[in-house]
Amino acid sequence: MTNPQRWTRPVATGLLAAAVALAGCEERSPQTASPASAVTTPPPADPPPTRSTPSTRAPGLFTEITTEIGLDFRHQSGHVDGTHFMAEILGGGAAVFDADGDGNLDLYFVNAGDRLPTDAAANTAPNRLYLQQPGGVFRDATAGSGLDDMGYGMGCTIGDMDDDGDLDVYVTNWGADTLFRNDGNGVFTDVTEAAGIDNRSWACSASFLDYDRDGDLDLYVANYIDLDPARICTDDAGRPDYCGPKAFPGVTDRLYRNLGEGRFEDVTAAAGIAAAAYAGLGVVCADFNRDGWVDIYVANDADPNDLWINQGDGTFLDDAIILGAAFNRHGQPEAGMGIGVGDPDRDGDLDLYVTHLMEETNTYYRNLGSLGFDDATGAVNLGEASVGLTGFGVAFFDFDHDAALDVAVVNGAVGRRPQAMTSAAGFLSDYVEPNLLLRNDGTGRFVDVTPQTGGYGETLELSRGVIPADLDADGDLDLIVTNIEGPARVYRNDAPAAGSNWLRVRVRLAGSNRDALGATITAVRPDGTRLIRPVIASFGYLTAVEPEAHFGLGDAAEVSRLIVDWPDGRREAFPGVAAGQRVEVRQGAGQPASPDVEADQS
Amino acid sequence: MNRQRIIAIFAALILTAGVAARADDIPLPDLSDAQPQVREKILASHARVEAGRGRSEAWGRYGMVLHAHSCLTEAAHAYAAARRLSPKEYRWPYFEAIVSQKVDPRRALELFDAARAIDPDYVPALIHRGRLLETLGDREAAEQSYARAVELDPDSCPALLHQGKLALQNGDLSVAVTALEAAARLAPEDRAVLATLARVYQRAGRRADARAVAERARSAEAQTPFSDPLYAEVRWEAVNIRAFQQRATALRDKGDFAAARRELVRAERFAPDDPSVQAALAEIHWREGNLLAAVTAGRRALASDMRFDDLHQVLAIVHFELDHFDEADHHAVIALRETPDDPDLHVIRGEALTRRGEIDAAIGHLEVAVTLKPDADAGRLRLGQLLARQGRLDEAVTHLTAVAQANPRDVETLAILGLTQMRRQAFAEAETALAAATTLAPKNPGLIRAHAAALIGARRFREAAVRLERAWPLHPEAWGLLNDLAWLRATCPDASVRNGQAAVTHAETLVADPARRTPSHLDTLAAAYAETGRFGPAVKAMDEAIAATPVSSPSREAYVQRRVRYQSQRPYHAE
Repeated sequence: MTNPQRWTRPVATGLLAAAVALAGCEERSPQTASPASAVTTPPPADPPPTRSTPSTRAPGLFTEITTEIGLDFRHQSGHVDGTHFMAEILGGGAAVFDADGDGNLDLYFVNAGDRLPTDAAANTAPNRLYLQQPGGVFRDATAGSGLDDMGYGMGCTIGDMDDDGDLDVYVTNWGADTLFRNDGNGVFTDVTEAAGIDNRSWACSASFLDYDRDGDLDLYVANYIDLDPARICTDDAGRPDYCGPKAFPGVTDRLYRNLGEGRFEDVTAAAGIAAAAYAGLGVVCADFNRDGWVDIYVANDADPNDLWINQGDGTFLDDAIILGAAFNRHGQPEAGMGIGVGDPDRDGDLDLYVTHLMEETNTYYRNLGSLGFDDATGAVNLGEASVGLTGFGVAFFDFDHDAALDVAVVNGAVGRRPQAMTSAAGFLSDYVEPNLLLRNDGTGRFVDVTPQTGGYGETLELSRGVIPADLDADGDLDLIVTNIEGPARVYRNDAPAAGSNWLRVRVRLAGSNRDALGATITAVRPDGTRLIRPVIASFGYLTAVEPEAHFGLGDAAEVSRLIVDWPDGRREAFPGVAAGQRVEVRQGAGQPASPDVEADQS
Repeated sequence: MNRQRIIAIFAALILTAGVAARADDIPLPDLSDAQPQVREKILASHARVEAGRGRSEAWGRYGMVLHAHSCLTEAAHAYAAARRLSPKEYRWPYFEAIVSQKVDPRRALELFDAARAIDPDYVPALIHRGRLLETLGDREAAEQSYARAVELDPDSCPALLHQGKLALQNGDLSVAVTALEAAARLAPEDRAVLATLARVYQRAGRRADARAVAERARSAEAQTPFSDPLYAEVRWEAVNIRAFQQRATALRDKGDFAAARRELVRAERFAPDDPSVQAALAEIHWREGNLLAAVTAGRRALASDMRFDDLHQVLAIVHFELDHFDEADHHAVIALRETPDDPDLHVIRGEALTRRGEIDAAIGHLEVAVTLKPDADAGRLRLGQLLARQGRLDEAVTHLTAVAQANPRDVETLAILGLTQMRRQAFAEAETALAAATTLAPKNPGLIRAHAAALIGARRFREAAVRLERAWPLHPEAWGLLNDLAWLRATCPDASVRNGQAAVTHAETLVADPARRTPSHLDTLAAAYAETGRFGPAVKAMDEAIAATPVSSPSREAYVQRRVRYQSQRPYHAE
C-alpha cells in the first residue's frame, strides 16, 4: 500500500524520472568562453535543490557562472518556521547598472534581512553591492558604498534623478523606502529625507519616469497591502500558510514629482493616482498608446490592473478596464506580479506579459493600438506553460538574436503547492518551482525551450527577479536570477548561433533625463522589419537594469535606420549602423522625422 | 524542469494512480499538520474506501474530500480509481478534469471530453472546456463550446459572457453587445460582465457608456458565483476553518444569516480560539440583531493581536445601538483610521461627542457625515438639533427641513423643526410643521401644546384656544396643557378669546392639589383672578409664586412686576 510520509513524494519521484529522461536530450556544443567564464573560483556553495548538480548537467542555451564570477550573494528573508510572515515570500529584487562609473555593469541585490521586521533584534544583513572588476569578476563592495540599506527590502529601481550623469537608486521596503544618491565611484548617500520622500507603506516595484515632460525624473512607487503581521492564514487543509492579498486592504500607490535640486513632491492625489487603492506589485512606465506621453501600467495582486493613461496635463486616468488590460480574457482579475513589456509580434507597439499565480496563466495583453489590448495568451502559446507555476520576474529579450523577442519567466509559489516539486527537506520545498524560457518562433508564437536552458530551467527555487543584461559585454543578454532564501544566480547566454547579429543602443538627452527614460527606439532592418524597444529601467518584478536597448538582428549585418521617439514628443531618425557594436545616439544629431514620413519610408 | 516535464510528472502520477488503484492502494496525504477536523474527515473517508475497495462511490467521495482540501495528487488518484470502477459515472472524470486543469490543461481537456462522452450537455463543463480551449489557443473550438452552452441554457451568465467576449475578440460587436447586455441583465453586478461590456462599448465608440460601465465594474465586488451544482458538492466536503468562513460569507451575502451563523458555529467548534471566526460571528450576530452576542464575540476576536478594521466598525454600530456611547465611540475612532469616509462612523462619533458635551466637535463629525452621505438622515437630524442648540438657527432649519422632506411622516423631525422655527420667530412655518406632527401623533399633549404655542405666535388665538380646549378632556392629567389653556383664557390679547371665569376654573383645578402649586401654575391663577377683577387673591397667589421661586430664577423678576401690576388693579392683558 502506498502511504507516503509526505504527499509530495510521488511528485518528487516523478520529477527525478523526468529529469533523467530529459537530461541527455539537448546536447549542445559549448559556446565560446566569455571573459567571465575564464575565471576560476571555488566550487559552488549553493547547489540547487534538484536532482543534478551543475557539473553533471548537459550544456544548454545558458550556463550558470555564478561562482565563476565570484558572486556569493544569498538572499535572506529572516524566515522563522511557522511564522509565515507574508513579506518574506515576496522580496528579492535587484538592479544591474554601472554603479561606479567604470563602464562595466555591476550588481545590486536587495535583501530582506536576517531578522523578521517583527523581531525586536536589529537586522545585520543589508542589501549588497557587487562591483564588476576587470576580467568579469565581481567584488562585494557593500562596505563603504552607502548602499547597505538595512530595511526589510523588497526591490529597487534606478534613474539619474539629480541629472548628474550617474544612476541613483530607490529601494522599496516593508517599511520606509530609501532613496540613494550616486556620488560617483560606487559611493551613495541616503537622501530620502532631504528629497521629501516618505513612503512607509509596503512598497514593491518602483520606476522613475518623466511624466510631466519637464525633463527631470519623477518616481512611481507601487504599494502593496496594509499587512497585519498577526493575522494567521491557512491552506485548504487548514495548515498555516502565507496569506493572500485579499486578507488585507490594498494601499494607494505613490507618485512623486521631481521639483529639481533633489526635492520631490507627493502628487499622488493631484495626479489622480489616489483614485485606486489596489495591491500593487509590478510597474512599467512606457508610452502604451503612442501619444508621446509616458503612461503607467501596474500589475495588481487579485485586483484589476491599472493602466494610468497620461492626460498630458499632470494627471492620469485609469483606462485599464475600457482598454482591456485590467482583467484577463475571462474578465477576471488575476494575481498580477511582474510585467514584461515589448513588441514580440513586431507590430510597432508595446505588448504586456503579466505573471500570475499557479492555476492562472500568465497573461499576454496584445496591444491593438487604438482598440486597446486583447488577451491573446492562448493564441501565442504563452498560457499553457505557465498554468502550474507562480510567475514573478519576467522579461522580453532576444536571447538568440533572431530578431524576435523571447521571454523569460522565473517562478516560485506563494502558498504551499498542492503538489510539491521536490522531496528535498526544508520549509521552502513546498514552494520551489522551475523557471521558464519561451522562444519566439518569429511569428509571435512561443515555444517552450526550457529543457534546453540547463540549470536556469532545472533549478527548483523560489525565484523572484530576472534581469537580462550583457554582463560580460559579448553582445548577448545573460540572465541574472534572484531567489528568496537562496543565492542569486547568473546564467551566461550561450545561445546565439554563429552569424546572428546584435546591436546595443543607448540614447542620450542633453541636460536632464540623460538616459531618455520613456523614449522608444525603433531599429529598421534592411528588409524593413521594425524592431522597437522602450527605454526603461524597471520592468519585471522588483528589478531594474541600465536603460539600454538590445536588438537581435538575425542575419542582418546592419540596421538601415534608427528612429527615436524622444520623451519630449519629438521623433528623430538616425542613419544606419553596422551590427555587433554598442552605439550611443544623442538627441539633435539625427534628422527630425514625422510619423507619416516614417510610415511611408517603411 | 519545464512544461513537458510537469505534464510528464502529472501523467506519471495519474498512471501511478491507476496502478495503485488496481492494486487496491489508497493514497493518503501527509496530514501531520492539517487541522484536526480535516485529518479526521480524510481518514474517515479513507477508511470507507478501505472497507469497500471495489466501490466507485467510496473512491469518488474520497477524491472529493481530498479535492476539497487541495490534496490534488491524491484526489486525482481517487477519481481515477472511481472512474475505472464506474465508467458511466459523469462526476469522476469531470472532477478529475477540474483537478487537472490546475496543472495540465491538455490532460484536463481529455478528461472533460471523457465526461462529455457520458453527458454532452452539462453546461458548466462546456464553459470549463471553452476556457481551457482558449488557454490552449483553440478559439474556434472554444466558441463552439460556449455556443452550445448558451443554446442549452440561454440564461447562463458565464456562457453569455464568454460568447460575448469571443465575439468582441472577433470584432463582431453587435453579437458581443447582445450577449453581454443579456448577461448584464442577468447579473447586473457581475464584474467580469461589466468589464467586458465596457470594452465592447469602447470599441463601438460609445465612450461615455464605456466609462460609466467601467466604473460600475471597478466598484463591483466580484463575479456572480459560477453555478455548478456538481462541483458544489465538492466544496461542501471541505471542513477547514477557512471553508466554513467562506461558506458563511457566501450565505451572508445571500442574506441567509442564520445559515451563515451555523457555518461559523461549526468552525468555532473546531477552532474555539480562532479570532477571525469570532470576528465573523460578531458581524453575523449583529446582522441578526443579537447585539450582546455580537459584543461578546467581538471582544474575543479583539483579545488577539490581530487587527480587525471591519470589526471595529461593526462594534461601533452595535454599541451605538445598545446606547453604549463611549464604547461605540472607542470603536468608531479606531475604525475611522481605516475608513475615514464612512458616514455612519462619523454619525456615531457625533452622537457620542454630543453626549459628552463636546458640541463643536460633534457638529464637525456630523457635517462630514452629511457631506459624505447626504441622505444620512439620522446624522442630519442630530446636526440640526446641535446647530439649533448653538443658536445657528438658519443652518439648523436647512438641515431639519431636508430631513423632514425626506421623512414627511417622522414626528420627531417635524417637532424639532417646528420648535426650531419657533425660536426663529417663524411661526407660520412652525405651525405647519407642528400641525403635521400633531396629525401624525394626535395623542401627544406636548406636541399639542407646541402647536398651540405656534398658533399663538402666529396670532391665531382662537384656533389655539380651540386646540387646547379640545385636547384637555382627552388628556386630563396633562397639567401643562391645562396651564396653557388657562393662561390663554386669562391673558389673550384678543378679548374675544379671553374668558376670565373659565381661566379661573381651569387654574383652580390646576392648583387643587398642593403638589401642583408650582410658581408657573400660581402665576396663571393670579392672572385669571386679575382678569376677573379679583386682585387681592391675585396678589396673594403671586406672593406664593414668588416665595416658591429661587432668587436666581429669571422668572422671579417677572413675577414681582406682575404682583405690582395686580396690586395696582391692572389685569395682565393690559400689559
